[in-house]
Amino acid sequence: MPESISSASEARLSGTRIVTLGIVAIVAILAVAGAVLLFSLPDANAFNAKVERLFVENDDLTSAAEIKLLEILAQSGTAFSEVLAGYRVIIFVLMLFATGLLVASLVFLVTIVAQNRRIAEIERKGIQVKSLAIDREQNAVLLNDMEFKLTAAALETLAVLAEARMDDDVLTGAEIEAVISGRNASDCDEAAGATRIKRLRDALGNQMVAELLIRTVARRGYMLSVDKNSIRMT
Amino acid sequence: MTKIALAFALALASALPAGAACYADYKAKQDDPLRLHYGVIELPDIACGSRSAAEDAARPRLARGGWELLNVVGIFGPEGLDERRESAGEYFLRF
Repeated sequence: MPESISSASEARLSGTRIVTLGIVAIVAILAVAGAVLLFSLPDANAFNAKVERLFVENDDLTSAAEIKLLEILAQSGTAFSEVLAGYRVIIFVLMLFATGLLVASLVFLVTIVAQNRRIAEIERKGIQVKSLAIDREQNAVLLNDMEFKLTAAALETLAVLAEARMDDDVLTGAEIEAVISGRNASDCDEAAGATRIKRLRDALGNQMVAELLIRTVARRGYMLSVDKNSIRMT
Repeated sequence: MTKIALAFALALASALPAGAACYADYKAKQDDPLRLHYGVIELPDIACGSRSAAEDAARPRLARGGWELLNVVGIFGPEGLDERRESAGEYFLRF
């Protein structure tokens, strides 16, 4: 169980890294593309410079009417520059949209991949205990919000194991017996602790299998709670 | 009759500014908005040698009027004035 938990969190960590790198890459690529687009748009002076060159290069363009015509050409180019400014704004807004959409789709993609991996993990590992709550008053334990009734003695054993787990301790049978009976561990029998564990396993295992695998359908009978497509017999 | 013609010619000659040895036609512009003009300018003797000398002489005079000289098309004597008078229009000998 702990293995799968750590691998799941590792997957989440690498997912975060991919998302961060991806977002940085997307923003960088689109910023470069946007800059290239914006700066490759000609500015209004390009028209004026062209008209000026025409004027200088052709010695016979000297009559007042011809010159007036050239000036009008240049002015229409300058008027077009306002349109170009509008294009710049539109390109900028489209770039922002594109960035947002790409970032969102990247995040969704990584989330889906991570979810799939987690689901595959869970399917492989069978039941994965995500929460364990011990209710001493009702002599019950809640595993993933499924309630199982235990005897007081079995619940005591489970509580001792849970406390040891929180301290990352491993207990021998004698130690378990010592904690529950209040005696010194050297005075306790290993077999007594093993018996407690066996009883806990029997009580809990029986109920868990009943809940997860062999269901009792009220007033009708018993049924495997397994998808019928996943059953294969050879 | 010849006297009158002579006097007229003399009057015409003296009306032309002293030291104006040649003329040049040029092209000039103003920015924002772009305006262009073709004009004729009279030049002192020392500026008649080459096109670049004529440009150097004409540029500050045009700049005073707010125009930027683009190029000098040609340098010519008084005999070339008439054919350019119409094209130059209001910029004929203005600067």
